[in-house]
Amino acid sequence: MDTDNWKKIKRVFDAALEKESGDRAHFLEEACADDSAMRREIDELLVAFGGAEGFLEAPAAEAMASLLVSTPHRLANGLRIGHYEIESMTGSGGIGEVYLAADKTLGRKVAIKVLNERHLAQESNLERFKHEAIAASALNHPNIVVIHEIGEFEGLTFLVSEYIAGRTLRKLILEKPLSEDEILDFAIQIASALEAAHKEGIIHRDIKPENIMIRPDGLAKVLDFGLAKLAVGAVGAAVPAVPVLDPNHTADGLIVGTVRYMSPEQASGKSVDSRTDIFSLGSVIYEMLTGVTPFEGETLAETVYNLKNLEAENPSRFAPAVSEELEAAVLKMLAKKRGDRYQSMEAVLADLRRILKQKEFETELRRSREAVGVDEDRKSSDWTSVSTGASSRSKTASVAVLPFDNLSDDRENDYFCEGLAGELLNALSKIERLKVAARTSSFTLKGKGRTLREIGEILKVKTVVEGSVRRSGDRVRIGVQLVDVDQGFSIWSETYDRELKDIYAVQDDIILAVAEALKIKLLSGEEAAVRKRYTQNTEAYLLYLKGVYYRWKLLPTEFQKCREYFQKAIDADPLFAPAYFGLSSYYGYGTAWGLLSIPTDEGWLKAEAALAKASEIDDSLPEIRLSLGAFSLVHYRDWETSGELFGETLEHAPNLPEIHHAYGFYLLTLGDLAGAIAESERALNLDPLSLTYSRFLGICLYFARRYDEAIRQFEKSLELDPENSDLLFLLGEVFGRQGMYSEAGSAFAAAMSLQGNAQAAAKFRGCSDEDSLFGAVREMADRNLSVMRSRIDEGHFVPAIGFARMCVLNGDVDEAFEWLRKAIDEHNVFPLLFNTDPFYDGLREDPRFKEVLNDIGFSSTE
Amino acid sequence: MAPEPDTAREISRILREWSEGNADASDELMPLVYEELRLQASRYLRRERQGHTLQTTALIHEAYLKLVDQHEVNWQNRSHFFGIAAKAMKRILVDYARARNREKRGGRDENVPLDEALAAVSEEKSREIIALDEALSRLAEFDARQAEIVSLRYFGGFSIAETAASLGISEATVKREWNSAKAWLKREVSR
Repeated sequence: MDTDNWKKIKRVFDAALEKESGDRAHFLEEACADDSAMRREIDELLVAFGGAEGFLEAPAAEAMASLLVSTPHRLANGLRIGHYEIESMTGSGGIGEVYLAADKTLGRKVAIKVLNERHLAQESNLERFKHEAIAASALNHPNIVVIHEIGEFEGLTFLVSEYIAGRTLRKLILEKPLSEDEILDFAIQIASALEAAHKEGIIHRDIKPENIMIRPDGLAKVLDFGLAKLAVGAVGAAVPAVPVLDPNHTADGLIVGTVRYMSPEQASGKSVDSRTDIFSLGSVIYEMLTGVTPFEGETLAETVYNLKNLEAENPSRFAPAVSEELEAAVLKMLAKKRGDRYQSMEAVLADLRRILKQKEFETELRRSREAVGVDEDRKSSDWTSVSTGASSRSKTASVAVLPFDNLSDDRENDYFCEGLAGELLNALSKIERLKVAARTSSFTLKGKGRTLREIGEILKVKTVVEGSVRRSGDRVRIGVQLVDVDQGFSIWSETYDRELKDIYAVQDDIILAVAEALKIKLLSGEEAAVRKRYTQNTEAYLLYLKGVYYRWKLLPTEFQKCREYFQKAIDADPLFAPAYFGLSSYYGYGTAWGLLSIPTDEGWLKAEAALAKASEIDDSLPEIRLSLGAFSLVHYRDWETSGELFGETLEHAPNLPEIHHAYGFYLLTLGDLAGAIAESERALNLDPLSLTYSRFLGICLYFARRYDEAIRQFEKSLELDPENSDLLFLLGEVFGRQGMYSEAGSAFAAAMSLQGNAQAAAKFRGCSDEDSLFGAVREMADRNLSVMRSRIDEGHFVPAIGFARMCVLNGDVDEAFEWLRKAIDEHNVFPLLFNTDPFYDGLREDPRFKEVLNDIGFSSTE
Repeated sequence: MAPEPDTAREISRILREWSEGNADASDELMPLVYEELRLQASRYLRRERQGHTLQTTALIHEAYLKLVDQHEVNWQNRSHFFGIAAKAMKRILVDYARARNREKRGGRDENVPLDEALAAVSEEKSREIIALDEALSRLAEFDARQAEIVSLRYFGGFSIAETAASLGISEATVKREWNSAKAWLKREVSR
């Protein structure tokens, strides 16, 4: 349509409207003359106008109000609410909408249900709903959906619960007839959830197939506890404030719930008790068996009439194969008078279980008679094949434990979250048939915005344990779940509300539940090992966790802090072996790598005393032998003993990455470079994101003079920690050996600028040939020497190796040998490397170097 | 929640610039008005129990009072604001309708059953509103003023008198234009 044309049409159209309908045709014939296109257009418009009564009359928003209300997008995709990000809406209904959201801190999916405001008009409704929903969730029942949180956002009340990847029972019923075994299985699971709730005085009131989710592994989860209660108020009648925990006093006079599953007393608006859930469950089982609900009518009124006046038909009329026992049980659940029903869910459950047992027994019997061949009843349905899949998966069960999220306000509790996860990881590692990802790698992945699936791929595990901790005074709330990373669903989850002193019990619970969920039967002795408690003293334990937290910090200043906490833990419980071990490892590791500012002799003394104490109390820790081996090597340079101890540890704990690292180091000192590389690769395989092991592999390759590979390995290590100046120095060194001087220069420059030395960095940056590089290196060495000298003058301990290396670099060979000799007396790891480190290649021809090696003890082993 | 005084001044500035001939001004204003109206509408509707009565003009007036510094603008600015508000309202409804249709078409999780009756009603309305929006865009191509009238009347909830005043035309013109626009749109959406 063009503008002029439309103007003409409008004019004629307007005029035509003015005419009486009888005159219109005549008018149009004249007005349009021979323009038949315009005539057709106007005719159409007139027809349209005739049918446009009411069209566009009510303003759009008013007409669309229901759309605005019923249509969601109250929460837009991508919206952040706290640490949740809305991904999509998955459904809506009378009570509110449901969204799929990502919990960004825990990296898991959750379901967020936003409740329609009108149900919450009364403050008391909301409170009661919260109370009931939380109470049900707090039962920690496997068949009850876990509620993570109930909160508010811009005036909306929302409920965050675990996301269950699965289908509703409704969907399942529609899809295919269920076998009686499946029906019994689901019924038992639902009944067991309801029984637990009833014991706490919580009635569901709205049991129906829509409220039951079935996971692909067959686990049933009951949704929406408390919501029916909320709907009670929604009807609008005055509801007296009812004590929720008293099942005998519920709101009277209101019809809530879905009529087809309602009990007669509910449909009559009478007060209800737990027996209403028994009736509803009966209706659900009836429908699973027959495909129809027991009182279904054409209309709502008819259904209500049937419900009140007619007896349910025997299920066997619709489904002849139904067993007599199950039929009898269902009919009893559906008795009109609640006094004629089962009187408790416990009784229902007992009967259902008995029926299942009976059936299993009969099946067994039949099977043994048939001896071989296919048994009709055992033909695997979808479900059984799925669950077989689950159990075959357990043969290669593997798990990673991520540090728990700290939901408490203060960062102080980070240590507790990491510590708890670390303890779980240790305990799970004791289970032989379970592959557990190593600590450093698992903990490094935390908070990097990776999905659980990605984490699973990196750590090569199929499941992940993750959780959160909220600590307030002496109470902790620990939420934990085991997630299948491929499927993205939670296999098991729990929330523990406990006192801090019960922390061990919670840990045990989690470990055993994880093992069970992964279908791992613990071997004899394993459960005891898992449950082993080293202290009964909560304070000591917490201090210990704090010590461990700092023990794993790479930054020397942070690392130093662990000593204080291990010591305090020992003070709190002088018989706490792991705390002694921690203290020993602080002194041993710190001394070996020159991290402490106390003389090496003193360091070894303290390390060994603490280790002796630890093994005196309990020498079952494999790490004790590992430490002894390391001390033998580094302190005593006793290759024979240390080789034996490492060998024993390797045998006992082949999956401990530390032992492969230690043994690799041992081989490296002996010049077995191929062996060292193999061991360091093993360590790295077990703990792929460990900076220590990654760097160590680089060192082994470098010592083996495999420079290209060493460069690649150091570059990979830098990806783990791009600001590690130590690595940059190593990288620069290898570049220098390869004659890549400008690369070496930039690596050194980067290292220097990370250390805050801009001047030196600038010197290195300009290097493009050997001369300029070595000039800059010499300058740096001189400056470092003067810095170290002044440190010593201030009374600090500086390892002699530092001086020795700087003297090598600035070319002062005599001075270098003096310091090398001093370094021998300091029993740390560095002299052990003289034998193979390319750094000393320039000195090897010097007879004094052979003496040095002799003094360390190398000649005797070669 | 009233906006920061700065925001109100900013909006007033945009309105003044528009009246001084800066055509881009309404692009700047649109997102602000959109958000305010959306918030108000959903807040308003959430507060209601049943039989939602929602008055678009009331919403727009409220948004105007909230967003615009009254001392800074004249009458023309005000009517321009209402024009933008009507467009914002249209966009809100279309966005809702599109979202509704998208989720009906696919990607729905079977997790939670939808209230079928409600879904059916909203779906029909959603389709209507999208069709109307598309037709209105076509109309604007050859008769911008008519499209503006429909926008003010239907999406802004303006009466004939208000529409006339806002556009600076007579009520009779509004009525006449309204008739042919309605006929044309009706035919388009029924095709």
